[in-house]
Amino acid sequence: MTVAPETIRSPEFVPRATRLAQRPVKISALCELCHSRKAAVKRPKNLQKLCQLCFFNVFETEIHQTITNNNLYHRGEKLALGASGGKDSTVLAYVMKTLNDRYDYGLDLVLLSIDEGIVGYRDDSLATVKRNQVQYGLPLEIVSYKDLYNWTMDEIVTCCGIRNSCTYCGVLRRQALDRGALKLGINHVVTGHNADDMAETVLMNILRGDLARLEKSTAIITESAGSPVKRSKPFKFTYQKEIVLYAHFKKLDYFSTECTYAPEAFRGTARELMKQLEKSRSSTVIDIIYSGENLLLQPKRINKQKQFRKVKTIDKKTAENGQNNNKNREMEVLSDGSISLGHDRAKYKDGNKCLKCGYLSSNKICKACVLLQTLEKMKPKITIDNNISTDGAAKVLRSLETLSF
Amino acid sequence: MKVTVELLGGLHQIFTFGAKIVDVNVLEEAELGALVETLCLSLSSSFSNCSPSLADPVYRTSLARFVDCEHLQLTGEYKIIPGIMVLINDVDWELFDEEETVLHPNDVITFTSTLHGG
Repeated sequence: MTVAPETIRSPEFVPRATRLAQRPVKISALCELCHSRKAAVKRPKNLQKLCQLCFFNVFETEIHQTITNNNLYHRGEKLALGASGGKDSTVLAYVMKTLNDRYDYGLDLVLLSIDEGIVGYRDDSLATVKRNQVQYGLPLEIVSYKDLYNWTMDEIVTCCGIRNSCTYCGVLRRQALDRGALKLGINHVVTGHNADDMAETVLMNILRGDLARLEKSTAIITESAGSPVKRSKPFKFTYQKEIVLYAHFKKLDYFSTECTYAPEAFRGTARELMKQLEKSRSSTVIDIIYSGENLLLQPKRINKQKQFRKVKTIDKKTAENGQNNNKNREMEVLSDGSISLGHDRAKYKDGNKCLKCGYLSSNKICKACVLLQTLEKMKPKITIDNNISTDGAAKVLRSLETLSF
Repeated sequence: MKVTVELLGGLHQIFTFGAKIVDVNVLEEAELGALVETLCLSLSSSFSNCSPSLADPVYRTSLARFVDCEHLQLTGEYKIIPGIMVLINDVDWELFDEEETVLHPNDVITFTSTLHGG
């Protein structure tokens, strides 16, 4: 391959449409649905070649079918659309609004954004959400970490380093979405998770051996007994490539910059693996979800003999201590050092509330409170006035990395 | 021959010119692979202290966000990594011959990264 001496410059301003009209037409297949227009997309799901208009139609209809087949929503329901300003959530807001108008779902849609407090990333993407709010005419609510937890992500990162940032951010965001929704009096959050995301999660859970999550991760709608907020993913069967193409062809206004903090290493690797698999066999994405859905976990076997022995020894002990009437012999040491007394194990399956904040949790204290507690311990006792180092901590780090002599 | 390159989805950040839309000169009847090579070679000039060689870790890290470095090392071919979507005149490149598509003057080539969260 030989290359002419490269000259790269910014073009004089010519509208995109004019530029496209100027060049000669390339020969490509006709659309397989309408047989009249030039194909523009090769669908990863079935390798069908479609023109732009047919693609829009198929894309929207498939999401409509996902919604109706699974009875995701009912008339008059109020929904909070998780909006980050990225491609998925922008397409989500646009498609949900379009479908709601077209098929008359009778839904009340609200955009819900979480402000993690990441300077140079979230502030820009929130600006996109604010533009979307005007473009689609939907009300917008922004909930910030600062208000909820009195911490911004920038502060958390200065405190505990860039490595753990995704762990903190992920745990806190889950809760923030629920709380934001409750604040608006909504008990259904819709997120833009797509098929690629879901396949990635299934793969990660398998690789980590996280069986409890593996079973739940493919549900299109998640509802727990104790949680007042439901979550649904209407894009469960929608490929990421199609979402990006849809946003591109529809010229939707979305924000696409990587978060300034280091991405989670494990997820990144799983994502690369997924993309490589998808490249060699594009139905892999849907197939992994299908496998995930149909995996049935063997119910846990309880070792009866062992349990019996345990009870016996405890009985002996309690008899010695003279606490015969105390039914609850098990003690649990909580993360803050206190000891809890008297609860049945069976109670702590689902619908259990965090002792500190009252949020749904599978343990006595929810993950967010545990993380925040460790943070408080690490927080510097003395602060310097006008300290700006917490603003965009990662941004500063990044610019330092690229400095050269 | 002049073609227009659009770098979307945050891809423009790895190139020096930093612009989302650039004009690139390539040979007549050049294939898309040649354009990718041109772009990758211009990438090296973004770091004054690094050479356009795969041995250079700085160069390699940014290059790896765009092309498959191992494949390049083995074969000398520039292959776009999976996860970057390519459109030629708003048509999916899978409908053409991917890297072997022959370009025409004034073609618009769009690279969009889908690798980060949305």
